Amino acid sequence: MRTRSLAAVLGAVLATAAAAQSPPVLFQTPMSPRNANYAIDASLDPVKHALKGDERIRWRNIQQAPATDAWFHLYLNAFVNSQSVFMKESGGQHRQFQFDDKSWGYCRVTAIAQIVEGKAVPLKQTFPREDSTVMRVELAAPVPPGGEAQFVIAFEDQLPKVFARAGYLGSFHMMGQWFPKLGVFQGDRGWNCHEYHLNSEFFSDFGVYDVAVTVPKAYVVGATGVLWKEADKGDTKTLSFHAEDVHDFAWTASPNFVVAEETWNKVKIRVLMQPINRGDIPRYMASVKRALDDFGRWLWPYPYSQITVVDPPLGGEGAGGMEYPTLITADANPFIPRSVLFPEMVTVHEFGHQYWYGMSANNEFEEAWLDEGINSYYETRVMDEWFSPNRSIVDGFAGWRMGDVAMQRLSYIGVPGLDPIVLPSWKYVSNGAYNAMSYAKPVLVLKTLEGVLGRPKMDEVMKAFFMKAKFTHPTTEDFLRITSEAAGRDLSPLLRPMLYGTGTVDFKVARVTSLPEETLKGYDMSVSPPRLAEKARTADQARESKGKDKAKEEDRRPANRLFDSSVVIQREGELVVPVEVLVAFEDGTSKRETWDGQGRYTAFSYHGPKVAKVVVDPDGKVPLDLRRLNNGWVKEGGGLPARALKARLRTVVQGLLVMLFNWM
Amino acid sequence: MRWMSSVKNGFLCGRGGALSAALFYLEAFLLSSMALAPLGAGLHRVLDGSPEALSLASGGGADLLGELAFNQPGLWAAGFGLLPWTILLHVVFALVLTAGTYGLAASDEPRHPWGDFWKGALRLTLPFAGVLALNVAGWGAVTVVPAMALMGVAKAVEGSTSSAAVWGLVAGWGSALLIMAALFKGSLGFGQARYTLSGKEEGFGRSLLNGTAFSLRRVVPAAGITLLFGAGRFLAFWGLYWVLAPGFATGGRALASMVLQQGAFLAAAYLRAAEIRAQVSYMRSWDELARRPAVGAPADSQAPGALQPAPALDSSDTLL
Ligand SMILES: [Zn+2]
Repeated sequence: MRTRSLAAVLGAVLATAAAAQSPPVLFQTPMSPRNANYAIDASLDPVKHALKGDERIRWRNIQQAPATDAWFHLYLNAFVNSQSVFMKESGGQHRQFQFDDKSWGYCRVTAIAQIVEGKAVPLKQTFPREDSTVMRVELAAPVPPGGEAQFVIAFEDQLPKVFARAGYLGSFHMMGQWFPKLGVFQGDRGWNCHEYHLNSEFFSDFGVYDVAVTVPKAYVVGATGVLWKEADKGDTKTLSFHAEDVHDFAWTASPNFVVAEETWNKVKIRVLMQPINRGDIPRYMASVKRALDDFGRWLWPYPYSQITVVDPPLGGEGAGGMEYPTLITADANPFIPRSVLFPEMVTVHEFGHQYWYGMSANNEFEEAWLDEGINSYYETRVMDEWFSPNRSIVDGFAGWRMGDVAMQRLSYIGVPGLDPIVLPSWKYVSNGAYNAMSYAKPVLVLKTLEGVLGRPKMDEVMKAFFMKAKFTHPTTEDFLRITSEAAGRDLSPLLRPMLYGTGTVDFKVARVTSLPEETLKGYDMSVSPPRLAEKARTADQARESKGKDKAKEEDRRPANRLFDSSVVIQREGELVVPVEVLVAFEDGTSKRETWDGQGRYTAFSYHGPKVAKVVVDPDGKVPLDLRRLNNGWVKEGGGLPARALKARLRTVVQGLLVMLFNWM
Repeated sequence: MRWMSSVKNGFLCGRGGALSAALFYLEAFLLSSMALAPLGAGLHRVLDGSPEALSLASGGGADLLGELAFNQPGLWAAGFGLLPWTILLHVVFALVLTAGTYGLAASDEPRHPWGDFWKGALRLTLPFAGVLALNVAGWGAVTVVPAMALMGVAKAVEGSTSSAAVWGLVAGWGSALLIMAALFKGSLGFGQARYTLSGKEEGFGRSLLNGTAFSLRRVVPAAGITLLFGAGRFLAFWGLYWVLAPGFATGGRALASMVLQQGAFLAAAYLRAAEIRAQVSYMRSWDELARRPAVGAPADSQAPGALQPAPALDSSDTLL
């Protein structure tokens, strides 16, 4: 093993720094603290799928306590062998993709030094955590609050065959989490620097990135930031990218990409497509434009000048559906029918991460819902308004349809009460529970909040949160505080149990009764002098005593009869949510009631026509409701849903039997 | 061209074919109705009182189906409880009906289709049960081989950049599979046809071997007939699931789409009856039994001199 000497590394880094023209200035006023700044020179060996890099980090301590050490993520070591936390947690499987155990990968720091008074002081690497995805160095000189440290690092990457986010497949290279990267210093709490877990994503500080990558000339490269310099050398080329106010840098390289570019409101949309999916370019473009427009109106105009969408190759889908600053990976597939809107949904979702992750940069390891959950909520809004709420995921596939919110409910109702939303991502009982609690339940919680506040107020509240959270590391407590301020009322009693607890809510119609009004017995005090009611109502009695024929006639005119009705609505589960109730009567009129959800039940009484139908939450404002099928009551259901469902399934069975004939 | 006139004979199937097709269709219709009666009752019990369930009627409400799965675990188990028995029953019925159809197709007295049908059913059902065993193996092949093929294709297209290469691979694997399936199914079918035509003079096993030899000697027309009817059924099912079924999603068209679906099933039943009659007709046109060639006999029987006119079907048999 050959290790370059520190002097050589330092020489190379300083030489590049000196020789470099200045990159462009993108934002006159920094939007973020810019306390973790990276300059990286990397060259890719596309045959060995390996990379060599020199890295210089300028880090500023923005906490109140001095830093005596520095912690780094070496994420690619998740794929180093079967003993990594990631591999142990995954069993070699991420999402539905299988790890190829002949293609391990790693990130190796071959030299690291701190620059102290112009001199490079070598630092000793240790691995204090469970695996080598976390590296620690004792600083040569502690960094006081407000002080700055500079590191020079030489590193080597071996990419795994792609199965979780980063890796290669043939000549396709997805470079995510590929360089030694600082954790987040949290003052007295030390460095927040977790191992690369199966179900966790990432956490880092904002900064400026200057990255130059050297690849074969024929390769198309997409990267975070903007390309500002390109230099050819022999059969390779070096591309220099510059990004400001971001907290990560990813890039991709492949000779096969079909490049499509469009501009939308001064934002350059760059789609790097697999040739086989060429036909889906308009779908990606439309999705990004739609999302740019919606997020821009709802939250804040997209501040960066470019967004790149990368389409992974067939079999490389493990790289798909991932977000990096100003670069996202989507997922098209020639074998998925057009009526399944996954490409749109994934593109909208990953774009949304530019806001929830990219700018509002919460700790994804510990509170994944703040990015995945809030972003999924916005994803459902974009999709539902673009298509329609009941067909925004599946639109007519063999006559079936599914909306985005229905898909989230499907995920949630399977594991509603095992884990809470706020939990470090590796502590969930299962991958399904992590997904349900980080994506689905937050969508339902926020939709429910939207139902409580109304859409205009909801928009105001969420925008207020985003504006405060952008370019910071917001927490769940920040969310509760800021949204409560914006809502003008304390949302904690409503939201805290939903976010920190495992309680559920299930409204149901417990009882509906409609009894014919009682004939008055005793004294009728409305006349003077009071008379016994029997006498006052002789005519009525006479009519009633005429017997069954008469009664039948009365039944034929139900609207004329009056009933004393009572409707009892029950709330099961621990969550208290206000809800609306629609009560419809036989004469076609209806009443809308509201219940604050306090107590276990509420009852409504009516004097008038018979009750025909009761629906709790008629507008679906409480999608968190665990069971919606018990939300209503009808006097006479037509039986249509059961008939239709049975007919569909019968078609399948009959088709199976008919096919069996052919093999007899 | 013999095979074309045989296919024509299959399609112009007369009263006998109409009877077979009607029986095929009715049997599947009645059995599937029976199989799902408990499910229907269960669904009515849990859905009729719920206004929320309406979205299920139009192909939506995936989350409500999820609720049913999680909150009514017994519903599906009880609802589909009859399904295994139905399939078992169907296998028996299908054997009897298929045997009857072969018998009827081979019959020289098409004036009594009902009687011929049952004569065929009585004579052939038991031997044809042997085909069932072969079919189990065949089914194994048709599930294992495509699965392997699919894995092969997935592996082969991994990282592939050219659309032409990917679709070429898919088409290549697909047609190879199709031809295999057609040969397998055609061999069984011509074996059955041969046994039906041979009277009691040839054992069933021998008939299957001879049928296989027959379809291998005339591989293009034999596989062609099978593929032709297979394509017809594929079109019926494709139309059923991709063109007709979406009618479910729009309330007003639900009934129309259901009627059309039944039409597609009827078409599939008719195609099956026609396929059997075409096989029998093609087998008979070579009149091999008259000369009784040994298994694997040289293909000289295909020489023009050996041709014998295909016996025309009785005119009353081509009414339909
Ligand atoms: Zn996401």
